[in-house]
Amino acid sequence: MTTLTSQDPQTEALILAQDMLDDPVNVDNPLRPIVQQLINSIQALERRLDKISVISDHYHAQLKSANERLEEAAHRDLLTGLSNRRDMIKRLTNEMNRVQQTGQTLTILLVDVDHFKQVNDTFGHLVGDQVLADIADMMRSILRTSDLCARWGGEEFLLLLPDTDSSNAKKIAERLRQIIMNHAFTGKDFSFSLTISIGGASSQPAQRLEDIIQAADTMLYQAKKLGRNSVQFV
Amino acid sequence: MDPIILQATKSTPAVHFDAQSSILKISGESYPENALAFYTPLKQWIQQFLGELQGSTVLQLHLTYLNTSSTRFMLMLLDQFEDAFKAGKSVEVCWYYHPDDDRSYEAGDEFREDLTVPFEILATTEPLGEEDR
Repeated sequence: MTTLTSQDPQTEALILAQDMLDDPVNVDNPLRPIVQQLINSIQALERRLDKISVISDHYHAQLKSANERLEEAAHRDLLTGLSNRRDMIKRLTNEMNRVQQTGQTLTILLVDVDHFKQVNDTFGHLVGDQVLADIADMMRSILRTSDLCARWGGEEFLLLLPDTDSSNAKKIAERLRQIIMNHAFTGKDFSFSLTISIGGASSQPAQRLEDIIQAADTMLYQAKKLGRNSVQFV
Repeated sequence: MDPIILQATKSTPAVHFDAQSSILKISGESYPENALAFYTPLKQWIQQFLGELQGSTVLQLHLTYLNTSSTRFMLMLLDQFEDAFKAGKSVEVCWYYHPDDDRSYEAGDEFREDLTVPFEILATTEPLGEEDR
């Protein structure tokens, strides 16, 4: 049987000291005031320790949430709030492992804004930045919770659609193309519309991640070559 | 009494203790490698200052982060003010926190809890003791 030592040493000492004070034998013991003083100071120390713990916990919680915000920020693209390229590569790698285990199909969409340089040249970089942020918002609005979207390069985005075959992915890509095409980018003294080109590729058994991205990139190039504002799939 | 004026470092707060103007401020983050070495001179200075104090003084604190041992020493400094107050000196404590920083407010509230010395908790967006930096 295990002996349960219920008390830590100072609690035990406190109990013993209190017992001594309470014992009628010690009513006139000249040590009484000293023992009482020791009891008081141990109790004060314990209160002090509790206080230090409580305050430290406040600050540690604060530090932890600051760290979490930093961690979160390290995965984000500042302008669009989407995942950054580094985070996407990590997620893609994880997702590919899952695909190999489960045999599900994932689809990658590479999205590029058509003639984006003209927006910057005509309206300035601030408007260009706003356009990218708006497009990111529109992408977010059509994505399902399991989908992930990243700013892949300057005006290029990568959408990861897990557990989605090419026929479903095509519908999503086509919807996205239409939403952007029908959107008016407006500001104080301008209003214009834009189009995007999309290249898509779905995972084939035993295909490597780089090859899927490469295939999507080839399809994006194809979409551009065919006159832009288009969706092309492998 | 010589003042203690310390610039904030990465792990220690800015300190501005000036007996002549009766200004006492500690601001910033505190997680020194050796909290005992950092806080002992401050404690000794306050001891002498409060002993000689004729007029009134306010201890101004704006602490955005304290590690555990700094918390312990901060409680000791506050004890010194509590004792001075109980001895009839005109002393106060002012705890500043940034309005977005709930944790710092709660820490201030904990520090204040067992004290009888006047202890105000004030929201501020201004960094304290900027002139020292």
